Amino acid sequence: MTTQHVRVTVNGQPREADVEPRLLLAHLLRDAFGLTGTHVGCDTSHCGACTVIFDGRSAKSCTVLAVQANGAEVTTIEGLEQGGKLHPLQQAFWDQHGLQCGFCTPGMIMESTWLLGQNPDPTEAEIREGISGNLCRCTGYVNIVKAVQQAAAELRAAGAGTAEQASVAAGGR
Amino acid sequence: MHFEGSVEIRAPRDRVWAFVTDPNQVGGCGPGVESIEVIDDRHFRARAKVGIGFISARFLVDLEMAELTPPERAVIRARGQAPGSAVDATASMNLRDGAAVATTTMDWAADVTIAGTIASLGGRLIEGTANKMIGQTFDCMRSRLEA
Amino acid sequence: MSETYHAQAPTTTPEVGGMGHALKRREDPRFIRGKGEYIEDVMLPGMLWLDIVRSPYAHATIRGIDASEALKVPGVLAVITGRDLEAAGLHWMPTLAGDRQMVLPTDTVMYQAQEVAAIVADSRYAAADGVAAVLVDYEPLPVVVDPFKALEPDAPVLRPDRGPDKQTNRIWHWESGDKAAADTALAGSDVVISEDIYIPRIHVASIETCGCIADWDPVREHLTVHMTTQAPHAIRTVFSLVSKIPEHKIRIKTHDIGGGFGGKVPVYPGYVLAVVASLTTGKPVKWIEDRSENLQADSFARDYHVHCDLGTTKDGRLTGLRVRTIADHGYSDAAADPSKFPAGLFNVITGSYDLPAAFVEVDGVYTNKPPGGVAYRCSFRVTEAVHSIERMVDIAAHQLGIDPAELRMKNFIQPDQFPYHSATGWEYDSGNYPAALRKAMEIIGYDELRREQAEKRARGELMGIGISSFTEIVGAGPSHTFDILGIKMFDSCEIRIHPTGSAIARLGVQSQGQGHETTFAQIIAEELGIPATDITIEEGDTDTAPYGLGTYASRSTPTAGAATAIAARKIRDKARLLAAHLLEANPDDLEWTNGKWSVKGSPDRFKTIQEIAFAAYTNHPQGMEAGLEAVDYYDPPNLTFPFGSYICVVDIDKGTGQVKVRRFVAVDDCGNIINPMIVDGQIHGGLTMGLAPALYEAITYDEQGNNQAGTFLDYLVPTAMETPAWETDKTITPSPHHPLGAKGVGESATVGAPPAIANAVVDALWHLGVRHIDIPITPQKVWAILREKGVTA
Ligand code: FES
Ligand code: FES
Repeated sequence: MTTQHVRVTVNGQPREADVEPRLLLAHLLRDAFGLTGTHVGCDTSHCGACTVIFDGRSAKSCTVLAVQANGAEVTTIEGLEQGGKLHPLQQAFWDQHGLQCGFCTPGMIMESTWLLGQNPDPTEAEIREGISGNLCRCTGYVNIVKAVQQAAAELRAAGAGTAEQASVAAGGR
Repeated sequence: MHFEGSVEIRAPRDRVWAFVTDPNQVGGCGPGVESIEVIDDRHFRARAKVGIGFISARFLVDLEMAELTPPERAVIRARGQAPGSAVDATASMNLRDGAAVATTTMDWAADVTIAGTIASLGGRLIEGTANKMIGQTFDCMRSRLEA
Repeated sequence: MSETYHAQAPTTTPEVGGMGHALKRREDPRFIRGKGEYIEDVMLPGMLWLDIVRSPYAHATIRGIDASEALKVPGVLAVITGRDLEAAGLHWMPTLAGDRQMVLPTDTVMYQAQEVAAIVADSRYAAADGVAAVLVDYEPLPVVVDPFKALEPDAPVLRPDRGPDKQTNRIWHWESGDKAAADTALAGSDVVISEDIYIPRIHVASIETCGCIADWDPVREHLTVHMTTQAPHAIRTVFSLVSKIPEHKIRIKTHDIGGGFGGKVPVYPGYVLAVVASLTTGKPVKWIEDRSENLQADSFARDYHVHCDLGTTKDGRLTGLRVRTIADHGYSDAAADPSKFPAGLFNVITGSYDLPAAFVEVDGVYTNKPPGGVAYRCSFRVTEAVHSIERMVDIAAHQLGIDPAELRMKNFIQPDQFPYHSATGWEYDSGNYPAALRKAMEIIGYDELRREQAEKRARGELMGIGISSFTEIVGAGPSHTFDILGIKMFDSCEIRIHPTGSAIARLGVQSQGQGHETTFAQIIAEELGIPATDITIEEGDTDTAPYGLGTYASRSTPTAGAATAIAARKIRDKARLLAAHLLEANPDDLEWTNGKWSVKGSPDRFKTIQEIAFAAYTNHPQGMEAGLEAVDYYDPPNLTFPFGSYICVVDIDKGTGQVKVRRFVAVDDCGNIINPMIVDGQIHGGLTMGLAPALYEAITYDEQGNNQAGTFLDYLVPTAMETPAWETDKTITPSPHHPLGAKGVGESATVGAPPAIANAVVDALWHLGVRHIDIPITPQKVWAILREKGVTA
């Protein structure tokens, strides 16, 4: 079968591979790049275990072809921790017992990063709607909602901090 | 699933009979047919692509002219399979002279069973889709015969 | 939601983290970073892929398999058919229930999506291409979908392979209780309530599907199977018996498991095919099923057609119960029930009530469906029992015009009746049912809700309140009664204390998300005073872990948890002798407090467990064995009986028939609690897997035996939108016979929740003349009922 060459920036690193045109992005990430944190849990785009950030938007990587990702920027669960510090969502899922078997967790966390980017102060109903494309069979969602709330509060506080510093730097007050 | 109906064709009965018993002609009107291979005068094999909702599958279908009473009645039996799916169908066609000269009335009936993935996934869409496909088949036959 | 756990105050410090501490989970750091290692993440050098050709027909003769085109597909290396397996005697395999099941058919397929052939290829995509290229010539046979029709005299015999005396679709008949006593009690009752209750087929649908890598080393003649199994040791034994490979040459190794819920207990043909493929090619072979294969072919749960007759006096005193059940097992009885219990523990159906007489009979039946009767977060038919009795009690209350809470209170087994002997022969260990129900009623504001309901009803609005006061039965089980394929249902733990005072413990059970790495460390921390963070918990490697039957049926805490406590206590006993040696004291003069042995009366003369551990390797007394370790195989004296009371409030949309769960309060009693955070997480998850079959999930078949819910498109797993914010609380009634007083909790909520929801819906509709609705209570069903009763929006 003919192959095509793709270049993708994954978690800030340039990566490339020769792929069959039918290869799924999820399989490119997992099998070619060894990033096995992105999971596959269904064949109908329902479970969300494969969720990544694709050019700034959340996407189910089982529903994107690797060749479509040529030139794109992709962030996976492995790209969230910065300088040895967990992302506030990772920390919150741990603190709030937002995971059990952990299989849905990477997709759930990635979807939540996108959700909080869109809506930094979501209500419980907005969180539930925001993660409704991601199935979890273990937790009953209660603690996932709490985790997203914890991370949202923390990110808002950090954001307020940066905004204040920025305004100080700009000579305000 | 059972379907039945009746079509008026503006063509004489022997022409209609010749058409429906010629695999290449009648086969060309089957839904999604891509190729036909005649095995002997009663058996032929067709490749057809069928889509139901968001699923599509390429079927390999064995057809048999199970009953031929010229120029009155023909029964065709078909058994097809695609990966994980299968279809079994029996179609009967009864021809009689139409009310007007040089026309034919065809009373037809079809029993179709669908099994496997297509039946699972296509579930509630199957009946409608099958109905539509059968309608298209007879429309095609009529338009070719009347051309 | 309530934040109080009402657990006993922990006796250890938070640093030690023994029982009662909400210790954060020790397995989580890898999962939140995407560094868990699930079966699909494991890649071995030279690994091949296996994919499976499946039958489109639910019942058909195979006239031939043409694999010639498949073998031409680039990358395809081999095709395995039933005939190939037959040559090696591997085309059938035993099920855990003592029936047998095809690995691949030689002549007849028995359900839609059954495995028909396997393709081995050098990539997963090539294997899938190979599957698409195989041509199978089938001759369809009559399909038997309905178990009642399967029992009719002219039904085709689906399993002619069984003995000449078994040429029937009835697999077995099982009875429990006293028929004459139940008949007499019902005959003498003022009122007999009768109802048919169907508990439909459902599927666990763990988000990770099943899979394995079989790795046969032809030089060492050794087989390693990396697999998603909840019961590694039992699997090793079965593999050895079937393949004739000596058991010491087989190693089963699990990795992280993405949810099990019982669906990863059975041996599926895919596992065996991967082993055969590896034996044939001498290379590691990976098989990972996709979701539609998982939903169409893996083991199912429930599928019980229950008929109940419940007797009562006019004033609501229950007198007797008679139950007749048809159990649809599909084409093979592949349940994981203990061998003496073909219908599991279904005869716990007298529930939380002091019922003087009961009789239960169950017939297992074959149909053209995949093997059923396995599990959905409860494998032993307790959910079916609880749903039936809780529905019946509710119907009785409504019919007699007694409040459902009052009728339950009136009939509960009272706290002073424990240990309680039920009419079907169980000895309930402990309980306080009125306390749990009272607590749930207080939290939810029961009386206020009834007032609100009356007002709403007057306005024509549909609101319902449902109660479920369930009794669970878990922790199988005592070896005198419980075995699977002859293997007794004990479980085990081995603990080794290292010289520097940290430790490793290995267990025969297997976590699938339950947090064993945390809770079992907490048990050891409790018993030995070693900080939980200094203890490694290892499971799922049959080469290193002691033999055990695995994790299902909420048995890990009751069995392996007890084994862990006892093994730790054995270590404590040896530590006492070491401490006596170090302190030059008489062992009898020492007392144990908070991780140290100290001399009675002089508390400053002590040795910590860490000091003692060091001495065990550096300074042990002459004549004593070096080292500090112990193993325990725990054979429980009885089962444990967790219980609880759940109350649910629903609102029904008259226009759409949609049922909305407005509130759900769950008061659970699982005895003493090891980690309250984890227990609550188990309950949240269990409740959601109770909501799912109550309102959404069911696997149905058309007349041809086609599965109508074979993907997540049609099999409706609840999302965060449908799931309510669960409110949980506890009462604590320790088990008198468990070393920690714990009872197990994993399945309680799945067992208890469905009738609370169903009862709430019927409660909302009773005044319209609705007596019973089978689950799942979908909007379509409710909509049709409302239209029939003339209700419009
Ligand atoms: S794998 Fe299920 S949505 Fe992508
Ligand atoms: S934690 Fe298991 S599926 Fe979400």
